Amino acid sequence: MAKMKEWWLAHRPTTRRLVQLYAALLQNAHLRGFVDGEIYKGKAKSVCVPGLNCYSCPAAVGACPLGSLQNAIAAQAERPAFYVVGTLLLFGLALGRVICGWLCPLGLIQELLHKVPTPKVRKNRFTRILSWLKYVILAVFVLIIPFWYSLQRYPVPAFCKYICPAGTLEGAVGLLSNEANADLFGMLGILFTRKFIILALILTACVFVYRAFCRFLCPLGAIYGLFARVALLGVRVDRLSCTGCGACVRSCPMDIMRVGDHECIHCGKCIDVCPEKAIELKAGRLTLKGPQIALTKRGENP
Amino acid sequence: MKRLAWILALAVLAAALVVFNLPEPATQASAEVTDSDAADPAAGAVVEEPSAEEASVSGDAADDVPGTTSSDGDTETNGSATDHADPSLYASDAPVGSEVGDQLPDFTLQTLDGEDFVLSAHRGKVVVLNFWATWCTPCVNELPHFDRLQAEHPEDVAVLAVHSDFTTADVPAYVEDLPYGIAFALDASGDVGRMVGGTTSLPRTLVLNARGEIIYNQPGSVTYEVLEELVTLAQSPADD
Repeated sequence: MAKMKEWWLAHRPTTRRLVQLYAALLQNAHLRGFVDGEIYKGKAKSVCVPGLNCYSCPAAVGACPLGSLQNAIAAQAERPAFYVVGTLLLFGLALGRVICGWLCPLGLIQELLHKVPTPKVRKNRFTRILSWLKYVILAVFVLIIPFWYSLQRYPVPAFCKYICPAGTLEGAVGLLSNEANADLFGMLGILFTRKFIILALILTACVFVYRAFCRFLCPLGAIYGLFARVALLGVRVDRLSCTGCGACVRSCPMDIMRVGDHECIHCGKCIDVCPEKAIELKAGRLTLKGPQIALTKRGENP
Repeated sequence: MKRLAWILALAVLAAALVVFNLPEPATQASAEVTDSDAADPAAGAVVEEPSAEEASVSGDAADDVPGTTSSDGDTETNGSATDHADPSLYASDAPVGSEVGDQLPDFTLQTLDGEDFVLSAHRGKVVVLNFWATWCTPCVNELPHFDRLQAEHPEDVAVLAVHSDFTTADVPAYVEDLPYGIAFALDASGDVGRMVGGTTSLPRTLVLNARGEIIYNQPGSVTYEVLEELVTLAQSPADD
């Protein structure tokens, strides 16, 4: 009995993991979609969810903010993209990349994949440079290409169309896995083949590299990262207590330079590592999570 | 406090799981019989079961229907106005439905020219229905094929391009800018789309023979050559 309790204490899900599971299920509450093989088409579908969750996922109850942004830009010649941009501003200002760390279903999937016991690729200067790639993808596939073709009234949501693994996994595989959609197989062509290969590569990479998609490719993370300093919620360092030892940055699995910068997903791993207890997850002035675990050695978890 | 927050959160999740998994309103296409008085023809489709009168005619007229005798391939393709005005010549006893071999239930849609397209009035002709949408690029790209088909077969094929009930643009304005001569209609209520098996995937093309029986019903793009082959297939003598 004591062994079971020991196991449980060592393996119990963190609050963050529970919130991730909750958010993934809430954003995909239309579970019958997997039974029927059809996506949800109710009114709620026009509301963007905060995380990267494909509109075409049979279980999705809301719209992907990234897909909505591309389509809004693609249609900007008809009407300005106020609604989607406004929604993203709201999410960014309220939560920023807290969304990445706590609410994004694709983030959860990547973290679970990383639990597969293999040698892991540690972050380094190269991964830090690679983390800028997501801004390039944001600019080219989410902004420029849809805008360029919108001038010819031809909708090209380029990130959805050519890259997005969530679309391939949730949308394509999600729909094709139901035999009611067998006629869709006839419509698969080179686009699907390429995207499927991209999905396979990303999923494989995530086993060896923590959150490979988030860090290097996700344009939504790039967008939310722009709100890093101004978001209401986030992990903050008390500058007065900080001694600059760098334990937080060393312990961080993302490619941050400082806690709370545009690469930080506010997972809070650094909170318990700081020897000065200077780091907290805060909502404005309110502390949501402070350091709790006593440290055995300087900068190390027990 | 924390416990309260979790209880509230779980209550929200439970509510969401219930609300988002409620069954959608029943849309059994072939069983749907709407009161033709209640439906506003300008707003959408009037979906009717083949009337009892037609059903009895099909039983009596089975021997007279040209399609059942092998020598009468010509009669169908030379469909004249008088043949088309008499639906009894092209009655069918196929089951009503959306599969190949079924006959499609009758419907009426108002075209964007203001006329009524009544499916049963086109018995005796091959009917080609193309379900499309302005936001669907492959749909828009294949409209010229349907236009050419109608131009090549002005008398013996009736083409109708039906826009999905899922609109994102002013469809009449959009269509007005198009240089095509085919009939366009808007399936505002979505009834016709549901009737043919759904418009989740677009484009969807149906080809009906002269007796209103479906010989082709598939989502996916078509080429002009495919359409010609389907028309030929539809006009070939039936082997009952």
